[in-house]
Amino acid sequence: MIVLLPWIPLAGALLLLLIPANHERALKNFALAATAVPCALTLALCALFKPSLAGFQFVVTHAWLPSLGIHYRLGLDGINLTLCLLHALVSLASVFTACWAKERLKEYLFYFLLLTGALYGVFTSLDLFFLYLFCEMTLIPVFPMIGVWGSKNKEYGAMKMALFITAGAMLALFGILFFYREAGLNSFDLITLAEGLHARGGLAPETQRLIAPLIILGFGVMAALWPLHSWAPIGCSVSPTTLNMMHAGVMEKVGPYLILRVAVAFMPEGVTAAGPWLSVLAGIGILYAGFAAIRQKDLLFMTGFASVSHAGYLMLGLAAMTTLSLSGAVLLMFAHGLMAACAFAGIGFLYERTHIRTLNDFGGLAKQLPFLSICLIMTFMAAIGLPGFANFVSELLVFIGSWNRFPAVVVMAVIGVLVSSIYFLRAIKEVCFGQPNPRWAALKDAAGFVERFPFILLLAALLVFGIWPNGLLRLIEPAVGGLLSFPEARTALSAAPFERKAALPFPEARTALSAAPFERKAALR
Amino acid sequence: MLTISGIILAAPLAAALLIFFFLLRRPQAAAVLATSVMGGCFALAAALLLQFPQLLQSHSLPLEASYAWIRLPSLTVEFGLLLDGLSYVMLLVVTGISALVFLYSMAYMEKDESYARYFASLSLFAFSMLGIVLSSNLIQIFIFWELVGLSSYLLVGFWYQKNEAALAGKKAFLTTRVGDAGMLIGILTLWGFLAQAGLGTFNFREIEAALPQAAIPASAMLMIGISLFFGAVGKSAQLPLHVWLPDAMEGPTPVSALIHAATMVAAGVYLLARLFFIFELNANVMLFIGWTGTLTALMAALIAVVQNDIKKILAYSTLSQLGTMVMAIGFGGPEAGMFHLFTHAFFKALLFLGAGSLIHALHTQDIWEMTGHGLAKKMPLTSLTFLIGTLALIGMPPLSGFFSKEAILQAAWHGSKAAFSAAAAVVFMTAFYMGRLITAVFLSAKSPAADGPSPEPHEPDWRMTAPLVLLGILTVVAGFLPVHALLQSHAGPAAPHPAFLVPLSLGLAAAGFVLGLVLFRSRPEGLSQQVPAFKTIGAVLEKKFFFDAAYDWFIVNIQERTASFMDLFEKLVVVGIGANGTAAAVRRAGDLLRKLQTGVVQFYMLIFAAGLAALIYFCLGGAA
Repeated sequence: MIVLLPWIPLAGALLLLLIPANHERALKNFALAATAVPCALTLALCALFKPSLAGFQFVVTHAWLPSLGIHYRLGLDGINLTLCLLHALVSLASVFTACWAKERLKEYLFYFLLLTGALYGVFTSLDLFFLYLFCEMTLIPVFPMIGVWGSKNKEYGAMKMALFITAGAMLALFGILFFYREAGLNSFDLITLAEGLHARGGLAPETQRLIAPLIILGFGVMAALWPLHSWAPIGCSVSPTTLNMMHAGVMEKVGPYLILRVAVAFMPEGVTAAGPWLSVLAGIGILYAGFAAIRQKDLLFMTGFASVSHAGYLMLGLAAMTTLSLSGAVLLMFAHGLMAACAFAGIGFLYERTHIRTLNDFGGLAKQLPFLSICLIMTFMAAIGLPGFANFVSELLVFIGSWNRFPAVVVMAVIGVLVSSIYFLRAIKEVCFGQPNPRWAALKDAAGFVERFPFILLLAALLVFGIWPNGLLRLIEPAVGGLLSFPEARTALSAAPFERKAALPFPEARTALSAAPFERKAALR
Repeated sequence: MLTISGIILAAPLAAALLIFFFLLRRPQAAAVLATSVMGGCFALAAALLLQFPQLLQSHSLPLEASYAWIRLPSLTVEFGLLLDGLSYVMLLVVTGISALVFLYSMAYMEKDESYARYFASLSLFAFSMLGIVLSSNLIQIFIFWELVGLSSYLLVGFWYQKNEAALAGKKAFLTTRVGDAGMLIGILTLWGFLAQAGLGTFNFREIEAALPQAAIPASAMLMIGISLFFGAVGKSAQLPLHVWLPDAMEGPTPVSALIHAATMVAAGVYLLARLFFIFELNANVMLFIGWTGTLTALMAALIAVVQNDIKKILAYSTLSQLGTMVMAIGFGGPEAGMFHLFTHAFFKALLFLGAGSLIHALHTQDIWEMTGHGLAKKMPLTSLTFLIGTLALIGMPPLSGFFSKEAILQAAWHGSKAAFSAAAAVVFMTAFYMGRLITAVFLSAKSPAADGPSPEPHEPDWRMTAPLVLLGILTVVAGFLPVHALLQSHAGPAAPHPAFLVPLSLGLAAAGFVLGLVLFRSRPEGLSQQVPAFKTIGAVLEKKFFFDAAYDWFIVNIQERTASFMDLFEKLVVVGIGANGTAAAVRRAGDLLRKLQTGVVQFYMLIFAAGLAALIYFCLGGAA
C-alpha cells in the first residue's frame, strides 16, 4: 500500500498526457482521482498505524543498487506519517484550486501530479539516496509552473528560488556524502545506519559537529531559515496559487524533515552544539520577517514573510532538541502547512478574479464575500496562534520545550506572535472590513463544492487537531523519542530535565470527582 | 455538580455553533435559542446553590475533574473543571448577567441585519468567559483568555463596515494580546522552574502544593508574578494597557454592558484572585499590583470628569472601579476585590443597559444632547433604575456598592495610607462625575442650543425594561447576599474595621455628588475658560494623559520604523548584497573567464605551450 503513495500520482502524471487537452472535464476528474486515491490510502495508513510499536511500520524494501548500498526502502513512523497526512490534505485541497486554472490546464495538472508524487516519495522513502532524489525531483515542476503560470517578475523569482534551493541541496548533499563515508556502513538506508551506528555508539562527536551544520544550513535554505530566506517571499509572490499552496504547505517542510531525519537522528551532539547558533538565527528570523511583513502592501509578500517568520518557530523547536520541542516542531510543520495552504488559496482566489492583491485595494469584502472572508479570517487567526487551531498547540509545545534551553529566544518568539497579530489583523481589517469598495461590486463569493471544498478541508483539519492534538501527538512523540534515544542524545540532553518525576498526590481532589463527565478518562491517568 | 458545570460551559458553545451553521438566515430563532440557552445556564447555576451549603459544611470543596488534553510522557496538559466558592460566584455573575443582556439585546438589536451573527458571537463570548471561570489550570485559562480576546474582537468590531468599529475591535484584541504575551511568559517561567525541580505541572492546586518545594528564587518569583499580572493588566484594562476599553465602546451598547463592564474586564480581577497564592509569595509583586490599580483608579476617575459621551463616562468609570479592585487585591484583600467585582457587575451592567435604553430612545450618546427631555417623567423605569445604579456606584447605603466599597477602602487602609488617600479621592471623583452625568441627562432644563424637532422619548419594550428592573433589584440586594461565605476560602483573618471609614467615605461621596449636581446645572463651557489652571488640567484630561498619543508615537516612530528598517535591510542587504550581489559576482567571474575563450587558435596554442613548459619545469625540477 505504501508503495502506491508516490507512484499513483507519478503514473497518473504520465497517463494524464494521454488525455487530449481539450477534454477539460476528463483531465480534472483524472487528476482529482490521482490525488484523492493516495489521500485515501494515507488515511487508511493512519488508521492502521500502531502508535504503541517502536520504529518504522509498513516497511517495504526493493534492492536497487546493492553494490552501493542503495535500496528502495519505504516505511513510516509517526513523523513522516504526520507529514504524509499533511501532504495528502494539502494536495487534495490544491488539486481543486488547480482546477480553477484557465489556461493550459493539462500541463498544469501534469506538473502538479509530478510534484505530488515526488513529495509522497520524500515522505515515504527511508533511503537517503531516494530521499535526496525525490527532494530534488520536487524542484523540477516548480520552474515551469512559475515560468508559465506565474505573475509579474516571474523569471527573476523562479531563478532565485531554484538557485537558492539547489545551492542548499548541494551543501546538504555534501553533508550526506560525508556522513555516508564516516558511517562506513556502505549503506544509505536509514534503518541500517541507525542500527549500525547504534551498535557503535554513534558517530564521533567531532564528526557530528562537522556534518550537522552542513545538513542544517543546506536543508535550512529549503525551510527559509534566516538569512537564507530571501527566495521565499519573492517565490511566493510569483507562483500560481496551487504551487504556492504546495510549496508553503508541503515543500517548505521537506527541509526541516530532512534535518530531523539526518541531523537530529544521527548527529544529536552536532545539533546540540549548533543549537545556540541556530536558535539565535531562528529568533532573529521570527522578528525580522515579522517586522518586514508589517511593511508589505502585497498580500502574497506579506504571507511569504509570515512563512519565513513561522519557519523560525520550527527552527527553534529543532534547535532546542527536547522531546517536547521536537514534537511541537513536527506538529507545527503540519499545522503551518495547512494554514499556509489555506491562506494562499484564499489570496489566490481573490487574485485570480481581480488581479489585485494589494491590501488597500480591497475593503468590505465581508459583506460581499462572506464565505471567503470567514475563511480568510479563520486562517489568519490560526496564523496568529489563536487557541482552537493546531498552530496554537504546536507553538505552545515548542515554547514549553525550548524554554529551559533558550528562554531569551522563546521570549523573542512570543513577541513574534504579537508582531504577527499586527500585520494579520491589519490585513483582515483592510481586506474584509470597512466600507465595500464599489470596484468589486461584481465579485462573486466562493460558491459550489469545487470552490469551497479546499477551504473547508484545510480549516476543518486545523480545528480537529487544534482541539484534539493528542490525535497526532500520540503518533509523533514516540517517534521523536525514538530519534532522541540515540546514545549520544541522552547524554547531551541530560541538562534538560523535563521529566515529570511524580504526579503530586491529591487523593482528596481525585476522589471528590462526583459524577464528573470526565471521570472515566481522569481515572485512566 | 461538575457535570452541571460542564453543561453550563458547553451549552453556549453549542448554541453559537448551531447558530453559525444553521440559523444565520433565521435571526429570530437564533435570538430565542441563544437567550433561552443562557437563561437555562443561569437556572442551572442557581440550582447548584442548593447543594452549596452542604458542600461548604463537609469541606469537600473544591471539586475538580479533568481530562488529559495533551498527554505526553514529559508533559500533561489537562482540560479540567474546578469548582470552588470563587468560581461559583463568578459562574452566577456571568450566567446571570449574560442572560439579562441576551434578553435585552433581543429588543435592542432587533433592527440590525446581522442579528443572528450577533447572538452567535455573544454566545461564543459567554462560553469563553465561563471557560476562564471554570479552568483548572494555567494553559486552559490561557486558552479561554485568548478566546475572550477573540470574542471581544468580534463584538467590538461588530459593525465592521464602520471604520472606527473595525479599528476599535483590532485595538481591543491587540492590546489585550500584549498582556496575554506577558502572561504566557509568566506561565513558561513558572513551568520552567517547576520542571527543573521535577514538579512540572500547570494545575492550580498542584502548583500551590509544589511551590514551597520548588524553592524558586525571589527574583524569579518577582518576574513570574509581574508577567502573570500582565495578563490581568490587559484584560482588566489597567495602566498602561487600558487604552482599548474606551475605544471598545464602538461596539453595540449591550456588548459594552456585558463584556466591558460586567464580565470580560472581570477576568483580570478573577485571575488575580485565582492566582493569589502565587502573587502573595512576593511582597514586591503585591506592591506592584496594588499601585498599578491605584494609579489606574485615580487616572480613569479624573478622565471621566471631562467626557461627554455617556458610554465613555461609564467606560472610564469601569476602568476606575477595576483599578480599585486590583488595588484591594494588591494590598492583600482578594475577597474585598472579588466582592466589589460581584456587586459592580450588577450596577455597572445596569448603568450600561440604562444608557443603552437612553441611546435607543434619543439616538445620541452625548450627555448634553440628552439634556432637557424631562426623561424622569417620560422614561420613569429607566430613570429610576439608572439612579439606583448611580447611587450604588458612588457607594450609598444600603445599596450593594456601599458594602463592597467599604471593604475595598478597608483593604487599602491596611495596605498603604497613601493608596488609601488615593482611593478616598476616587470615591469623591466617582460621585462627582456621576453627579455631573445625572444632572446633565435627567435634571437640567432644555439647553437653548438644542432646537428643532426632538425625538419623543419613551420606554422601550419589556425585553429591555425587565433586565433593568431585575438588575435594579439585584443592585439593591447584592450587598446582603452571603457571598462572603463563598469567597472566604481566600481570605485571611478579618482585619479590624476603622470606625472613621464609613462617615469619611459617605461624606466624600455625598460632597462629590452634590458638587457635581450643582456645578453642572448647565453646560459649563465657561468654567474651564474662566480659570486658567482648569484649562491646562482640562486639556491634559481631554487628551487622556496622552496615552493614546504616546502609543501612536510608538507605533509611528518605533514599530513602523523598525519595520521599514527591516524591509530596507531585506531589500538592500539580504537581497541586494547577499543574493543579487552573489549572483552579480558569479556573473562577473563568468564574464572574466569567458574572455579567455577568445576563439583564436594562436592564443590557445600559447596557453598550451606555456602550460607544457610549466609542467616540464615542475617535473624536471622535482627530479633534480
